Amino acid sequence: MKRLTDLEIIQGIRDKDPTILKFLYDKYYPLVNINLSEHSATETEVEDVFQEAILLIYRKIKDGTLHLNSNFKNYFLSVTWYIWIKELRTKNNQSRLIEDYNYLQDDYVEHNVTDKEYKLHMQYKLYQKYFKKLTKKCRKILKWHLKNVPLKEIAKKAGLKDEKSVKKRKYACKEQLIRLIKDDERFDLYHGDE
Amino acid sequence: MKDLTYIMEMNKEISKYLSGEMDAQTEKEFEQKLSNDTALRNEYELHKEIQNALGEEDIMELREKLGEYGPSTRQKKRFRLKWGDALTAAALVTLFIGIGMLWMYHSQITNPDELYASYFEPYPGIYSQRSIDADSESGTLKQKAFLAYEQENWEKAQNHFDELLLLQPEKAEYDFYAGMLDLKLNDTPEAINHFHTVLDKADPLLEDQTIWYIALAHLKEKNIEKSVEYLQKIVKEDLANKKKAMKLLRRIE
Repeated sequence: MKRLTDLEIIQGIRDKDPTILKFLYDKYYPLVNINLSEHSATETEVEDVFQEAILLIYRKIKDGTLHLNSNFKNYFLSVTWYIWIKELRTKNNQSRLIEDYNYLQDDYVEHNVTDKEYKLHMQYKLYQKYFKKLTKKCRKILKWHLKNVPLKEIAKKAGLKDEKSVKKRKYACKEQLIRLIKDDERFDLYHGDE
Repeated sequence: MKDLTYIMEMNKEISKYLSGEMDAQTEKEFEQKLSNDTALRNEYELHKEIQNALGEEDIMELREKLGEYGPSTRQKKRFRLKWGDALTAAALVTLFIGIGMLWMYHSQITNPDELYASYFEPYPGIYSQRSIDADSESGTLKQKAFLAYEQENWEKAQNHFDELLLLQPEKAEYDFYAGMLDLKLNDTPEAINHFHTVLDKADPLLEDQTIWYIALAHLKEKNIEKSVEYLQKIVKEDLANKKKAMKLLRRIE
């Protein structure tokens, strides 16, 4: 594969370009894997952190808050590191490791991801996770409603009797979503005040 | 701590407010309440955040895409490929063994779609009339749902089971039939989701059947590796549908 410039990588992430996404996994995953598994991350955790790093960077590109101080590779690694430290802090009985990370964190300050950005990202991840667990019809109704599709049209599309049924169904779907979200043990962590 | 009824009431009001369904006066009153009631304000913030999160279609799409590039998914794909190679090799060996054998090989149905079609039958609509409280909202709906199911009015039945799941999300039975209907209406990934929810809810009466239908659903998705995994589980653990699973395994492998 040809060498990619940092700009090409950033544009590729912004465009969700499969070639660039595959490139990230091919080139950086082994490094992240070594880095994090040396600090107690399991295979699944490494995969999760890697994925969230790409998504966080995508969000920053979209918001126009991405600033590279050195090169993309270092930046990317520092984001994964930041996420892993945060993840460790949410776990119990990892106090010794957290101390290690507090020390190591100074070496990885390039990520420029603020705690506020991270918290919002994880909050939305939680909400989106449970949205996907709703029935297909619920997901569609909530989406149509978000896009301001008229109730009459939603009724027709969803095969419901009338506008009143749509309202009732929409409300029930939202109730279920909120219940699922609130039942998650991480809800208080991300939703509570700092 | 606010009680559940209060929270449900709050949620209703918030939904109405956010959808612009309130008249000017009620809206003003609601805004007043919002500034005085911390619990209401917290719920309102949550609603708004959820609304924003659901609007992030690009992020959800990207997360799904990234799932395909992760090493664990790639490993599975590689395995599937190897399995495919093995099948091809087996077919070639068969070819060399003799024309007679080849004829026999081809006379068997090995196409996943055809195999699925020959094994899939919607599970009968089993429910007890006595256990239904016909006066309650869910009771009436349940009657309607099973009636539509028995009459093979699949779309209508799906609508009713979806509603039942909203009223009683804890009932594994409704997820089971919702999954069955998704299979019937060709939404296989959704069917697999529902069936896994049934397994999560650990209803012993539905577990065996659910595993059988998960195996069939994966076959329909042409995910042979997964289908074989569930069929082998049926055989190994001596679950219901063991004979059918053995036959199907022979035809796949």
